[in-house]
Amino acid sequence: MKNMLNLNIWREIKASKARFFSVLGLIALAVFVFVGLKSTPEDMRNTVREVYTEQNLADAKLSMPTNDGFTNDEKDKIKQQKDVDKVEYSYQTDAKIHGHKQALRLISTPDTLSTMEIRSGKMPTQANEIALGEQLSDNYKIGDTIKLTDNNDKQLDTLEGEEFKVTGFVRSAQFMRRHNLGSTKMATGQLDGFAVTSPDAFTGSENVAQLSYNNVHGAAYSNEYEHQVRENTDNMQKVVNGLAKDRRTDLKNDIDKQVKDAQAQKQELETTVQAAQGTPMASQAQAGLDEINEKIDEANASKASIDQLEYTAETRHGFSPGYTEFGGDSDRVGELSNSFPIFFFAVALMVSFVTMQRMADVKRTEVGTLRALGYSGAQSLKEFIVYSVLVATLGTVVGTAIGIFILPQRIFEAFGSNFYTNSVSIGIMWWPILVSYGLALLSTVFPAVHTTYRDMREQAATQMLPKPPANGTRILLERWTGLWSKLSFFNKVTLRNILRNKVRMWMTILGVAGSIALLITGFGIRDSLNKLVPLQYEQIVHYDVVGLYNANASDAERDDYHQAIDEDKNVKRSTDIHMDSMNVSVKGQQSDSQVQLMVPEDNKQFDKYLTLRDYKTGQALDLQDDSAVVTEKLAKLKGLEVGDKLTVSNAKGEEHQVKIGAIAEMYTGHNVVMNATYYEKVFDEKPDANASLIRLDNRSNSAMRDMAEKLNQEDAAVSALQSGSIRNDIDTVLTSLNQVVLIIIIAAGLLAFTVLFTLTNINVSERIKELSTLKVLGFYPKEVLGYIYRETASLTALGILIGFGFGYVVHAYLMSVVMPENTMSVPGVTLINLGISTLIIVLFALIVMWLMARKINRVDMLGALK
Amino acid sequence: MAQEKFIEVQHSSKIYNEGQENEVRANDDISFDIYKGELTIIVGASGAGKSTLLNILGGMDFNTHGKVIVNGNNISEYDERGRTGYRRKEIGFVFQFYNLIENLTAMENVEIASQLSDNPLDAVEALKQVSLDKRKDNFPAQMSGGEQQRVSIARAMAKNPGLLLADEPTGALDYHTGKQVLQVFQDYVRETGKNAIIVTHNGMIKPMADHVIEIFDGKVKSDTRNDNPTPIADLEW
Repeated sequence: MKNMLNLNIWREIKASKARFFSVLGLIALAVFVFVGLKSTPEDMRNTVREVYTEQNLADAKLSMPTNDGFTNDEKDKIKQQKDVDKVEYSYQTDAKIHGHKQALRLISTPDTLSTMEIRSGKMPTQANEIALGEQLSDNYKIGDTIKLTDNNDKQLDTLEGEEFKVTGFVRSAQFMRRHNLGSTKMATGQLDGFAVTSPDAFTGSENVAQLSYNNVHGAAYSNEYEHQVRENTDNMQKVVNGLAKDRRTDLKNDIDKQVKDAQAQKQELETTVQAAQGTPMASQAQAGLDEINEKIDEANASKASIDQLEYTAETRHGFSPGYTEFGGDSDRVGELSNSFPIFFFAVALMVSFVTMQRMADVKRTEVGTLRALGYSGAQSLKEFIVYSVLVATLGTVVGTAIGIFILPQRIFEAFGSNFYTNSVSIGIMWWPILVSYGLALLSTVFPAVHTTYRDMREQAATQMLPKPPANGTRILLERWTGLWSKLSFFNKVTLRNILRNKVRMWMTILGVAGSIALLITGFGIRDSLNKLVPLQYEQIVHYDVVGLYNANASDAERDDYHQAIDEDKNVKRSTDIHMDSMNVSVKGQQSDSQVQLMVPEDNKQFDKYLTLRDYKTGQALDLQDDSAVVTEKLAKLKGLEVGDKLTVSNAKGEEHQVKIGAIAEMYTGHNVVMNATYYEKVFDEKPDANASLIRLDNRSNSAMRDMAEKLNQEDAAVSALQSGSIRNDIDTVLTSLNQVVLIIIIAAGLLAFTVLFTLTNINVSERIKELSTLKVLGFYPKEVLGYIYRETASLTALGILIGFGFGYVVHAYLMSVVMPENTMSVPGVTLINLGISTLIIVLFALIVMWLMARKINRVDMLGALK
Repeated sequence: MAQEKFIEVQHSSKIYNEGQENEVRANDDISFDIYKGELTIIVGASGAGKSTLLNILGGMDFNTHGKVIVNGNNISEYDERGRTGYRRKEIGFVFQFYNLIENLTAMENVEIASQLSDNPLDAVEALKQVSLDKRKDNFPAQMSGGEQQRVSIARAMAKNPGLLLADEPTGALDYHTGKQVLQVFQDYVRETGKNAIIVTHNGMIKPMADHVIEIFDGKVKSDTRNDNPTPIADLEW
């Protein structure tokens, strides 16, 4: 008997292939989206975690700016810190590759912490050998000799030699990114790569320390790990602040002592000069005196640079460019997993509800017969349950397989294209699979049971009879006789048919609306990114290069720096500002947000370089004496409004409070802008100009690079930033997002197709008699199709219109989620986007109509009317 | 009296799987003529092939051999599109189970057919002829079987067709309602001078017809004309 029932189920599936597969498809789609989006971030993180583990990436890094290196006393103090497990010291220096506008960071061969993976060739063993990071593999090959110099093509005082033979290419978790490895004072101000050589190649002492802690647990990016490392490193920063302070005092004392000695010598010499006037000894003594005077001046000048000596302690977020982005990128993918799947499951639930109801309607006589034959209600229910469990199970299996294997790979390809890492490591997370299986079961079994119970309440005898067709009813619109009487006959019929089954009507509308919203969102990612660049660089930021220079450099050096700008023919205008890099901690972010603090010297000219306008009204903002202007995304991240206070901290970890006077529009980067008066109030010191904002005539990337390189050759130069480099970033993001957009579009298309197909299929099946009647009456095939398609078409059109609204909202939401922490999204979608999205939906609707037309045209009208 | 031929069926056969072992002859070499203005009844047991014959006459099916000439046109040469056009312009069809569209009112059910005709009757007029003009705004579910069947007849008549075809129109109706429905057919033929063909297995209603064709086993068993049809009120079954 059991076998007979099972046989029946197989037959049922065979007989309703379209219905079975469309529900299965919808479930698979929903599971795919859910499992895929939940697994992907974890897979992404696991992939880089593997790299961190393989290379034993340090938890933190200490560095000092000179090649004097850490003293033994300092090393002892660092080692004594209770959290420190292992410390390894190495050398690091930035250099320009001679003959190229490229800068690289050269480090000495690591021991056991932050090791590297040799990708080709071998590691360098001699002081004249070098292995390059993969970033440079397009420009150089093994066996090449490269020359490393300073900005003026002279040998670096940090290196013993300047020519190196390339022995191989390496990969390092400290330099995962392909581009934007950070800033440097070499070449154009941007690091183009890194390299590793023997410690013998360096002069001086080790100036970098790699640390591992003994009290950290958990994997990279877990809150457990990140919080502990951050706490340790904040403490370590305080320790090294103390070390640096002592070092500065020692150095200054040394100089003072030297100056004192020199002055004593000077006095002696002066006496000698006076005594020996007229003798040849006098001129000799005079020369000695001049030399000593020069020494004293030099020593006093170097005191200024000693003030600049700071040690930094950084977590991976600081010393490994790409670490934060990788975590952030995967978090953003994770964010999507909390919203999109809900929608897919909701549609799957609705559609399977309708499908199961239809199945129950078709099979009610059979269930009734089974009951009449003496089967219990539960036994006849069994077939429905087996059917729906089967759909849910197969759907989950298919969706999980695609979600686990395909989606992470595609998304990793997109996000990972900016990094050098391993290929994606696929892992299986069970909970999303179980949750989606549960949701899948809910979507299919619940409707099946609900529908069957509804029928079970009837007596078996009634149930054996076919269900009477739903009664015709008037619709509300008919009361509005003025309009109703103006409608053509077929429009009236279409309207009444549409409104006859409101559940189905809403499902079609919502299914289509959801699909087009997804499409709009998918294309909208591109729209918004494309709009960002012109908005940011034509309307808000007007400078091309920021030249950072040493405010403590000698007057002559600073004059040279400014002269270099003034004499350049490509400079349109420039202005000086005080600029500081500050940190702001943001709740929910494992690393601080970087904020540029800007204090213009000339408030009136400033708007020629940066337009400050209110983010809501667009009104120009003036700098006030009692508050600062803060940019929009920063205010949003912190949840602050005008009048609130923002806490910023400098590199040394000192905190200051800034009152927000206005919020300004800004799309990339965070800025706090204030005038000198308010700066003094907040920081208790005068803002020394230390940066030139430069606007060029020729604003091409290469012109910006030339300018940056030129500035870096000056003695006063600290670094140069090119404001346009963000454009390249956005181009890279756009290319890499193509995959994701494609996935969204395919999912949306499938969704639209399945919803329209299922609902039209059921609609047609239910109304076969009606359609046959029309055929018999002499309706031509086109008219028969038109009769039923007018409904599909109107609902699709309505769905598209509602979807425009949905799409706008979902797009805004998605952009706020997927944008990096320092980038604002530009709202709004383009008309082309709406057009293409509409076209795709219409295309899928037409495919459904074409498939259904074949079914309708094949209907045996005589058979249907018996 | 010299009668004008409206329909000529000449050696018409409908053979499934011809030449094969499982060959079925639904209609086997059927020939007869129907004159203009006749009420014709085709009678036979179920499975005799009478419905097949009616479907062929109505352009819903086609024969495999022979000619069927209706109003001078050989419809057995029509293709699918030709048959659709023929149904649209020439035929009014009444089913055993009415096949009204549930979501349309009585009036709209009539209108949907009259939309197709070049020369339709007014929908209200058609309903008046079946005495249902007062129920024009009712939905099928709100009407009895007999009323629904009359709406279905009104729908067929509204196209103002040359030929009204009915397949067991009283099959689902009780005795009295059945009579009412048959009356409508008789009145239609008498008043318009057009043709109607009713297919039935109920031999008792034969006396109401001008012409009775009896089908047995796919062949014409008898073909008789009745010069004095019995008024429907006098029929008993």
